[in-house]
Amino acid sequence: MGRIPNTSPQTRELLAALVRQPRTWRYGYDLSKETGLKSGTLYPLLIRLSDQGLLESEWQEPARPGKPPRHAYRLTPKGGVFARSTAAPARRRLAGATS
Amino acid sequence: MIRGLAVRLVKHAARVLGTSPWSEAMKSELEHIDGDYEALCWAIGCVVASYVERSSVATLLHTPTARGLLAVAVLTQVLAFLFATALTLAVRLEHLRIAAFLGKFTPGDDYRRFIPLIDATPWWIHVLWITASALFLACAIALLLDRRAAFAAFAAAWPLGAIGNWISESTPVYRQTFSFPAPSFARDVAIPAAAAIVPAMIAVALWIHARRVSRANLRQ
Repeated sequence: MGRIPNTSPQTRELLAALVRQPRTWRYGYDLSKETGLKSGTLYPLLIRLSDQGLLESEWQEPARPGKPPRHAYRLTPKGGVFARSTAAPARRRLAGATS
Repeated sequence: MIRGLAVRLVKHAARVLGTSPWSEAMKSELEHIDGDYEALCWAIGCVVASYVERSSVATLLHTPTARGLLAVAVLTQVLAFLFATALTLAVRLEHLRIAAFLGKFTPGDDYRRFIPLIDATPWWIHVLWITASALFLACAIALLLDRRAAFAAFAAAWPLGAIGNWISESTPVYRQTFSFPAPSFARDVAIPAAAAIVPAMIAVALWIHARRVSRANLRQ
C-alpha cells in the first residue's frame, strides 16, 4: 500500500509552522530553526509542497544591505486548508491517547 | 575556511539541482546564516537535498539522455505498427526483395506464409496502424522537445494500434497463419509478453515525465 502523501511527522511539523502565521512570508533558515528540520529534509518538503500547489514562493529584497535577495515561502489558500485538516486529526489522536 | 567550504558545497548542490529557483534559494539563504558552523551544516543538508531531488525517477526522465532513450523505445512502437503495412505494400507492389527482407523478422522467416493474411486484412486496419504510428512518432518528437504532450500522443496511439491488432488477431486466417507444429517459449511466451509489457512501461515513464514537466512549468 502506498504511503499517504504529506502525512510524515516532518511534513506535519513544517505545515504546522507555516499555518501558525499563514499569510506571513517565511524563510528557509528560519523555518529550519523553528521546526528543527535540517536543510536536507526541509528543501525536499518545500519543493514537494510547492509542486502540489500548497506552497507559494517569491524572491524578497534582503532586510540587511549587501545580502542577496531571499526566497520566501507561505501557504497558498489551498495549502492553508490542507495544513489545518492535517493538523486536526493529529490533535484528535493526541487527545485520544492522553484521555 | 569553514565558510568557504560551505559556499563550495552549496554551489555543488546548485549544480546537481540544475537551473531551478530552488538552487538559487539554497545559495542565497546561505548568505543569511551568520555562524560558519551553522552555514556548513546548512550546506551539507543542501547537498543531501539536491541528491534526493536529483535521484527521483521523474528528474532522471528530465535529462536529455533519458528522454532520448525513451524516444528510441517509442520509435520501436512506430516500427512495430508499421511492419504489417510495410510488408503488405512490399507484396502488393511486388517489391519482393523488400518482402523477403521483412519476412526474416517474422516467425517462420518467410513472408509468403503471410499472403493469405495480407489478403484478408481490410485497408482500414492499416489506417489504424498508420495513424497509431504517426502518433507514436509525434510522441517521440514531443519527448525529445521535453513536452508533456508526449504522454497524450502515446495514450491516443496505443489503443488505436491495439484495436487494429485485436481485430486482426481475432480472424481465423490470423490463427491459421500463426499456428506452428512445435511450441516455442520465445515465440509463444517471451515475445507476446514483451509486446505487452514494453508499451506499458513506456506509458508509465511518459506519465511520470508529463507530471514532471507540469511541475516544472508551475515552478516557473
